Amino acid sequence: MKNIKLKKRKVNFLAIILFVLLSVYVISIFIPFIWGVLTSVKHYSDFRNNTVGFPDFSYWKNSMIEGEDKWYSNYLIVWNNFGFTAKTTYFKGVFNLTKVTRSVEVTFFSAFLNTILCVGISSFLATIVPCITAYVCYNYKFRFSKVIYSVVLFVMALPLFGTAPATVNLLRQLGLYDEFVGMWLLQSSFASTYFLVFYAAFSGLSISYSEAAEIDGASQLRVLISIALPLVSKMISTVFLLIFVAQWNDYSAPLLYLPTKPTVAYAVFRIVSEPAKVGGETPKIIATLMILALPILLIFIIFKEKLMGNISMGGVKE
Amino acid sequence: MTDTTSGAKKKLTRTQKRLIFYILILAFPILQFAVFYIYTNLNVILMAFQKYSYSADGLGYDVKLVFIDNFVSVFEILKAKENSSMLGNSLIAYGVSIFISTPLALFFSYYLYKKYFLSGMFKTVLFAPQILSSVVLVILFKYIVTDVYISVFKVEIGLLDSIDTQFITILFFSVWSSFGANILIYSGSMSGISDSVVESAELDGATGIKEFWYITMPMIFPTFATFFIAGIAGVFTNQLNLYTFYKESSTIKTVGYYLYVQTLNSGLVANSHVSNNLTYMSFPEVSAFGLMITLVVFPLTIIARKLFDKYGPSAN
Repeated sequence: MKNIKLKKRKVNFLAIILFVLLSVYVISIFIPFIWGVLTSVKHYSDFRNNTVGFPDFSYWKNSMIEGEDKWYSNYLIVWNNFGFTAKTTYFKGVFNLTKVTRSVEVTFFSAFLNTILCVGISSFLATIVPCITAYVCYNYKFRFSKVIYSVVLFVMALPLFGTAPATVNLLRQLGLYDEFVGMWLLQSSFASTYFLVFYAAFSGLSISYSEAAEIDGASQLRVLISIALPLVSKMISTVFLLIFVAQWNDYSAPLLYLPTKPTVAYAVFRIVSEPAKVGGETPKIIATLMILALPILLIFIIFKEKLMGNISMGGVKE
Repeated sequence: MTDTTSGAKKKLTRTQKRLIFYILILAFPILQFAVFYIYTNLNVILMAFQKYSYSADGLGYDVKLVFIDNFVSVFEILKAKENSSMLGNSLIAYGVSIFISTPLALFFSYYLYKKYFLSGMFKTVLFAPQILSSVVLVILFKYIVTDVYISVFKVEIGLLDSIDTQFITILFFSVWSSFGANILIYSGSMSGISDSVVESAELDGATGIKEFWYITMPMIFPTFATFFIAGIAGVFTNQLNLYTFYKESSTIKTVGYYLYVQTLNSGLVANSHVSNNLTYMSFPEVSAFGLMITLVVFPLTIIARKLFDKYGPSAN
């Protein structure tokens, strides 16, 4: 008993050092966000004299400029001026090439719509295709299932570089460049980490449910839709959320494959890179960033447990 | 006399039904893989040995097969002074991730796994940068290390404005924003360690650093090895968010950043024009460059895996 009491009193220096480091890290994460929120509601004249302090709302009250008299005016101005022209020119087809030139005026609404169409459907396909492929590979013990599993491991183990030009070229040849369908098809690969995640999930389920359903006359499709998918629905929603958040934030792929259909992430990137459209002032630039950040922060707060749930990969040895 | 065979349908066996379903379900994923992985990567290899030029009628391209022309021109472009530090920067970034980011991620994961004081709150905050777009993080960070830094410390220039501090500031950002999902995977892996192993170690007096080094690390070593090996490929894909920081004007380059900017600005026909401090290649030259990198990374990945399997600690 004495020994146990002595051990409880033993100071865990590692825990103390880590606590200090983590506390410093937490403070360093909060500082830019708090500064960003405060700056996004500052009048530009206030910001020029007061880079780090709290906003002085009297600047807004005393402003003689129409549309710049409210503390949230930066957001209104960004919203109303959120726009640019997206252009592209390329040759479409394989043998009889057609020159395609597109020029599109992008607004916040159109960028948001592009994001829902691109990210929403891509995320769904990037979730459901590996899921269903993992289901048939685990539950249908044909030889080809082992081939698919090996292919996934091979793709993850062998990184290939410089494939983007070939992908762009292929999409142009197929007439899918700068089209949502092209992005959806690109994201519909089964050979991803999530195949292993779903494979591990299905391997943890009892087959008695599906066998009982088959005995009762359920078709294979019915078993998949009514038995298997509901049993992994939590995993599906977690994976979907993770992919959705990653794709919502990614501007590099839409920039490459959807030049005239920019998503919100790319539109924000474009605005902050060329800020003259919103007046070039730091508070308005920061307000533009907050438009991108706040919906995702809201999703994070609501779905925090799902997003941070543990995901284990069947391919990782324990 | 009735014909009992002509009208009657033969019932499918269970195995046949399963096979038909299996084929139908896999048709799309296999076709997608065949087109967007196999065909695309074969095309990368083929493109590396092609040269495109505009056709006389201006409506397409003439293609000819070349031998090593694209590889030679890639070497010439990479030898240029503005690209000389590219590989070095990529290797430094990898070194930082191995010797700074990864140990910190492992220690932080250990803290979360042991559920020490405020671990729930720390987990949320560690994950938060992963949730936000790199555009948001980079721009906020940029203002903090320039405008705010200048205002607070009353200096002339910010950390990103000086050549002496620019690269190290960007490396700091990559560590600062990196923990995210790695923490979840490491701490998830640690939570799979048997309680009996941990308890017997505690009874033997192993706590804190001793438990972390002799118990936790060997048990999660396969996960660590997977990330380490994946990081080898990351040497050539890591952009360090340079495009978000500087778009195409960055004087600091990594191989990943260079490849991305090339792909954005290149076309099938060789331009070889210089702008924004970059000489732009053609798609075939970028493909040749990609192939060269693949031929370097693939054996390195195999060797690293074999070394880990042979010399790494085992759970036993």
